[in-house]
Amino acid sequence: MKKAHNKTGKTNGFLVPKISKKSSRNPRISGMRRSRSAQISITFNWIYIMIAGGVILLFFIGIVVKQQSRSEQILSTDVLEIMEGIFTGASVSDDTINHIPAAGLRDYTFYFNCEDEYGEYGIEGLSNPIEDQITPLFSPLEIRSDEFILWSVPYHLPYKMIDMLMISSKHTKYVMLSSTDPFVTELIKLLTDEFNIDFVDSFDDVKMGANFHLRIIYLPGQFDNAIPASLQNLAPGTLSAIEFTGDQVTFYDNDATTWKKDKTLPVITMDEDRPAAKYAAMFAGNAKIYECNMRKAFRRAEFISRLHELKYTEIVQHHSSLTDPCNILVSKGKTMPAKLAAEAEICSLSLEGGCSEILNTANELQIFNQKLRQESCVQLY
Amino acid sequence: MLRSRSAQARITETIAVMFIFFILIMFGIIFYASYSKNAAITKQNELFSQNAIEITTKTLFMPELLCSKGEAEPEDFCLDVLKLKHSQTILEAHVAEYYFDILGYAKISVEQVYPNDGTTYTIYEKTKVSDNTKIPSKDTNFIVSLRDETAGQGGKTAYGVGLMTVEVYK
Repeated sequence: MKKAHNKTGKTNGFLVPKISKKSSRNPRISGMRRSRSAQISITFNWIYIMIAGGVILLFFIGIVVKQQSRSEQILSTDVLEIMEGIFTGASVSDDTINHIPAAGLRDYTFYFNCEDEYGEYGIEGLSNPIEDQITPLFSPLEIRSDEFILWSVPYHLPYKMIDMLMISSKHTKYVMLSSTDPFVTELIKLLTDEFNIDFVDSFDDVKMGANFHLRIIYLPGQFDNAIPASLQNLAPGTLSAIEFTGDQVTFYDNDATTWKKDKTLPVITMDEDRPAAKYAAMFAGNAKIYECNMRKAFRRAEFISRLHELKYTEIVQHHSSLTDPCNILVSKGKTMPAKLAAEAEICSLSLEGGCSEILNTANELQIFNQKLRQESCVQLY
Repeated sequence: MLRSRSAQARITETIAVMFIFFILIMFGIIFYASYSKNAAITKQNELFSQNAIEITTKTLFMPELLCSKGEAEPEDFCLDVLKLKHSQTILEAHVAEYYFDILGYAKISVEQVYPNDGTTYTIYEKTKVSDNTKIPSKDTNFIVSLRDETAGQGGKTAYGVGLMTVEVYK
């Protein structure tokens, strides 16, 4: 038995059933036992191979899975880093429109959010979003497209406070009624060739098409609580509307056949030719994004106004001589930048309440600065 | 005895195979770790350079420093001296809550080179705390014009030339 067993060499150091010496004396029994032992030995070999193979297979599957999730992570980080760089570049270049091709990312959904002045954007389903509490980014809630469109618009109150960045895409459509309203004519001139924007004669003609999101913009007197027939019963989030009334904007979401009101907020803007805050409302996905990003702008406005307050002390000092013809005029505007800073601080906390007061102060300051220029005094801005 | 010797030989063989297997795995791990480390350092340097460029760009276009012209577009690459004099006060007062997010660990200064009166305005300074070791940094210099509305003769605006240095810490 010993000899035969060794000769076959099938043990491989594995368990071999013990066969008593007594039984080995009978050649028939011995042959049977040896065969069973070989069978067991072969089975063990296969089990060993299976286990080892399985472990090796699992190891490689583990590597592949880890590598896949890592490459998705790297993609997410790389894309967002590039986006951050593009947003930074776009936000500092005044009044420019950039088209960013993103064909390789058309299957990914970018999301934008903003809460308590903390903006966040990233790729849905992937981690590492970018946080931004500085740049006011007015964008839809989600973008899924092969081309991003960025528009940087300076915000003056009355001096330049910050550049607001409007983010849209080729597949985010904006629809307005064509009219002779200066706001519309300016938009036609500015955006027709750049954005996916349509100026129609009636909202009933509007079709969703291949767009990811559609935004209807109602000017004063145009709002109808019923969603246009061709756009009814669309999935929530694919359709939204805003209504401008006076110095306010109301945001709406789609609710099958009617509009569901989100919130009404003030539009604080003094640029007649380029009303940045009004454009911001057009591009903001909802009231929360609009308010949060406007608060970011007012926060910066507070600090810049504090700086202008200190600059003004230099101007007062410069014209301090009693014989200086600007002396009296300059002394009248001493408190203006400080007042503007205090009001910007209020607005940075909430757009509602006493925030609209800032417009009066900004207008006063603008008129005062024009007087300084007329009198050849050093201007505040 | 024969079986025992054969089993011993087998055990030795298995141990040798496993030893070589683990040696190979170890080589693989060492190679991968070294590759990953180098890749991480390269990526870090790349991000640092990108960050330095971003901070420099942001600084050059900060409304806190730019020369405004009423309601018109500000003058490019021009800094307002009246704002420069006080910018550090404002930026320092709000560094933790706001300006650090824009400028990070950096030192930004403007040296007036013409007319050269030795004036240097430090706009922002936020250095990393380190135990006497020099923190790596990247310097970027820009020539800017300096506008001072209070320094000109006969009420005219005076212009000078300045060298803006943006030193970004790693």
